[in-house]
Amino acid sequence: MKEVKVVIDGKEVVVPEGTPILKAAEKAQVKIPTLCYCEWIKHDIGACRVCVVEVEGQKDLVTACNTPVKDGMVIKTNTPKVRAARKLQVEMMLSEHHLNCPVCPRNGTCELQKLAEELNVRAIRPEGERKKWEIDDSSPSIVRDPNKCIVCQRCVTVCNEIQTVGALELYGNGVEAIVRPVGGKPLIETQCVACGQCSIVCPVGAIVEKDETEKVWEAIYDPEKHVVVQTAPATHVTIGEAFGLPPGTDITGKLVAALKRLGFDAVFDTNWSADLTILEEGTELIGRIAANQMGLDKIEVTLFGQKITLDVTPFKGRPLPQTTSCCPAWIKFMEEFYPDLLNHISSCKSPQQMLGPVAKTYYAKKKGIDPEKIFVVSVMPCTAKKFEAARPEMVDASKYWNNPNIGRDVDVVLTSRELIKMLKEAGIDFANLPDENYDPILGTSTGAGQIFGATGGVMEAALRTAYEAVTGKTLPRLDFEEVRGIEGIREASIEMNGITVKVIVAHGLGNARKVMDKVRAGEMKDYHFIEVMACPGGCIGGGGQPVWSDMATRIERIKGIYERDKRLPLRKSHENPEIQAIYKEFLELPCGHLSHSLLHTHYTPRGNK
Amino acid sequence: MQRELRTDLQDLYRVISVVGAIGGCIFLERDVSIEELIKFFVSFAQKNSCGKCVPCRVGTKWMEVLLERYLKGELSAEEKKLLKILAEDIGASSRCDLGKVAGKIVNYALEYGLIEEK
Repeated sequence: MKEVKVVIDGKEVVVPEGTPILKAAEKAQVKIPTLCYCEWIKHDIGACRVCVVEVEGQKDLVTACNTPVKDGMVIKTNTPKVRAARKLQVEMMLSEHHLNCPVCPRNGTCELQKLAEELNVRAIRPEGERKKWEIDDSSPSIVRDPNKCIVCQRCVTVCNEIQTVGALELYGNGVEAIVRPVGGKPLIETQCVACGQCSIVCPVGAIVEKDETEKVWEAIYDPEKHVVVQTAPATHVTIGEAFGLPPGTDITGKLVAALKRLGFDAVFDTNWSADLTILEEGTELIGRIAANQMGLDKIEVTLFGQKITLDVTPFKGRPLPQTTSCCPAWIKFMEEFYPDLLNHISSCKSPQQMLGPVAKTYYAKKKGIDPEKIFVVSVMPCTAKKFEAARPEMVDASKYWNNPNIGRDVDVVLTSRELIKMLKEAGIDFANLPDENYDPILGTSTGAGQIFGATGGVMEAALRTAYEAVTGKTLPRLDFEEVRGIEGIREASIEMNGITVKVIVAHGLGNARKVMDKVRAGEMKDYHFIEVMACPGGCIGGGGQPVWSDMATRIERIKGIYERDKRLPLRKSHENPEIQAIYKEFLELPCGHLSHSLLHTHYTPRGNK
Repeated sequence: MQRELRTDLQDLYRVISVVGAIGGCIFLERDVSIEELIKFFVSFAQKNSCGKCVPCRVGTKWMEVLLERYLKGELSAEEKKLLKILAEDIGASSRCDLGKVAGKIVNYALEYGLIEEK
């Protein structure tokens, strides 16, 4: 790679040819301010013009984020012209922005606020007109306030280029230009999958999660309600970040303690139902392979240390490769773009949606609590989970009891961001809390359940169980390193009783699309299992996570996930005693009759692509 | 333009080509002043701004508002200074020539006294 010499603010630096001025400046310890630039999604369209610099010999200013250096370039980043330009750009954005920072959900995390402070903006000179767009509240997951939009277009890039969903567009001219759902429809009427990556990249409060904290406060205060909460795998290594702890720190014990202090009647772990999902989905995978690839009617498997004969005839016709089903943005993506391939998706519900009905049936029975009084809250790194909990078919507890007063299986979903706000509001000194334990019945979990939070984790957890079920032998090594990492699409193969099981892991919907195009073209017939996480990095990078979730942060959280897995005494889902108990006392067999009525679901074709 | 302007030829070419990009001739019903023509062009830039960059998207609106005030005789000295600052920034920072030329036209107009104190 050819190297070039440039001078930045009088300092000489040597960088590879083509390096953007912004990066070259870092080498000279010069920090050029930016706003719309977003490195991890490769968004460098130069919309905000805040990062402009002077280049000797050029009359006009150039943007540092996307102008490559040339040999001998002399760059000045702090001339009167540059300082005036930066301030003016910020003033322009502020002139059409609300100035109600104290009551905005991004108060304290807003990048426009931060930039105005960094650039010492002291006035907004021209009088602009505040915009008067309507707030789009149509989606259960995401709320758009176009009046706060600064047209940085990060959301358009993430939705079009990274997620390949294409639900957002830049539309209009001049001050009427705005980012909006395609065609100007309400968001719920588009192919938006509610992944929420737009809300992660939005620098201001133009796209935020739907705030349902009031519903949770109300339930907690209601003495009639027995309010239980479940915590997603990803939250175990994230929540501490808002309280000064590094990303990836295992704050499990503190999280439980904090939730108890908030006033929840029982604190459960979605890691528990992740283990449950593995039992159901692993069995389904074995069934599909046995029935379709091997042409069998039954197969002998080892379950909970005992040999049992599994009738696999119900799996005949369910095609391979099977895909995971725990990611609701992935589910909607399939419903919108691959409605012809819906029967590839596992019929299993997600861990969130398995715990809900179990709490209102199994748990209610064991504790003698009226299921009508049980209110299930979940804490998720995810915005799509709000959409999932609101799906009309997710009312299986109510069907089980034949009682319409029972309502949804999961009553409210809180994103990590909302829980953090509740904890702050309640004055909980999170970082200094002593560790506490989850409540029994739905509280014990294994490392396999924990790794659901990282891309590749569901696959690895499933293989840890499926291998032992099929071969009857203990795994020589628990860590399936080939399915780990952040490479967009990863492959592995495992020998199980003479069959080479081939698996694929994809994260980010753009990568999922590549895989599913191949499935549609019939090129994936010798693959057995595909794990898809809509969000880059997996759930730890979910749309409901803290907004500072760049790639480096996601990588730290992934490390935390696998470290916690390594430390746990139990690392395989089938070793979980509470899972063994629910099968012994309630469900009987995975994919059995009761499982099907509570823990399995169906999908809804939506698009026609 | 009837005055003699000492200016950068490259810039002038760009000004002419972008003004020409309006689409041929502008037919006006009556005699207009040079200031009205400048404001007309700035309005054109605002209406056709693609919206992708802040200085053109928002800045040309500000310039339009200030020029309208000027044409009504309501532009204060302070506001005239602001117009100059704006024009310089928009002319130098915009992403493409539509915004840049809108800024440069107003900048030249101010420099050569085409927009006078009233």
